[in-house]
Amino acid sequence: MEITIVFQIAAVGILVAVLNQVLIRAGREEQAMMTTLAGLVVVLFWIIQYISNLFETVQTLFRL
Amino acid sequence: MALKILGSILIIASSGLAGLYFAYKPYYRKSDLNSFFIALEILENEINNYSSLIEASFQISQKVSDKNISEIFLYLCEKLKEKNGEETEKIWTDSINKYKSSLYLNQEDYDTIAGMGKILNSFDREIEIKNIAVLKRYILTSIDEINIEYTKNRRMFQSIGFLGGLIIVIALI
Amino acid sequence: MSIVQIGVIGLICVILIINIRRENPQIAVLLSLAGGLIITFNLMPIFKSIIELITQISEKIDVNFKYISMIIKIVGIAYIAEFCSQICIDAGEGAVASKIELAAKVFIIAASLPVIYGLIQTVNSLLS
Repeated sequence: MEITIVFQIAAVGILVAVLNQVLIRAGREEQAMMTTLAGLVVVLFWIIQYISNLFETVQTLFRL
Repeated sequence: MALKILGSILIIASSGLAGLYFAYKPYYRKSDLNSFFIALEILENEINNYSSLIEASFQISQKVSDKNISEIFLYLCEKLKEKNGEETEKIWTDSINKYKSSLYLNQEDYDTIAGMGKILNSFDREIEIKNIAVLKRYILTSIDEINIEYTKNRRMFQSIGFLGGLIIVIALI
Repeated sequence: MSIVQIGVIGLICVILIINIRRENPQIAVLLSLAGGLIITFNLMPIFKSIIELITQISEKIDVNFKYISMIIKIVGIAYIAEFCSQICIDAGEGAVASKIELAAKVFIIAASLPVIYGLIQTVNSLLS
């Protein structure tokens, strides 16, 4: 669990924002919203693995 | 590490090229339609001068600058010279289908052009000329539509291609 | 992992979050969550050794182990609740954050009830 995931999430966030702007400018707003949502789902998918990992560790540690 | 860099360059390049293909496809369709328009003008001219279809298609194949369209008419000319007894409509659709893959036209364009085959080489000059006028009008309206769409969509497809490749690389890195 | 590295990770996260929050606020929340997760995950080994040390000391002192474990449990509940509620507040949802804190208070009371009961019994038996 290192800092590369943070850089990946930030890069995906910026690229999805740019893609959003391009699609809105070309008039296809529904597809812009869909790509934002898709980027969100992908990032959520990464983070949920980390969350479950960490909270399981915390749970076993503190339930003592 | 080097393999990752190579793979990411490959992915970005391929999706960027795909984006460029979709961006410039209407442009190539427009130039093909323009060449076909010129071919139709020459055909109309030749029909007005009472020349036969063989001579007319030969003249067209010589005068049109686009290689593929001139080859269509050259093929048409060769097939007509063989005098196999096939119908003109079938020869027309055959010669179009042979070069279909190297042109950038739509399916709708092909259906309209193939529809012209029915009246080619018929004895009624008036109907031939009217049908050619209809086809020319269709081509002009298509070109107008393409002009409107092209300016809007070109930037979009270029950006989508490049950015999509970049996102995939970052997601898989 | 030393404090320097953790501080630097925090700074990098904050810089990225500030730049992304205007164009893509959804991703900014996830980014702050990820930063918090990374820092916490890297603290876990140190936590683990602290807790083991405390249990060893408690064995030497001859205190009943369940009291020590109750304290550690309460610390864990408070910590997780604060982690989640602070992220909710940063995302602008103060209501959800206060519900999480309420839940934490309830769980802490529930965890400490046996000890309070035992204390009252002892005081009772002393007085009577």
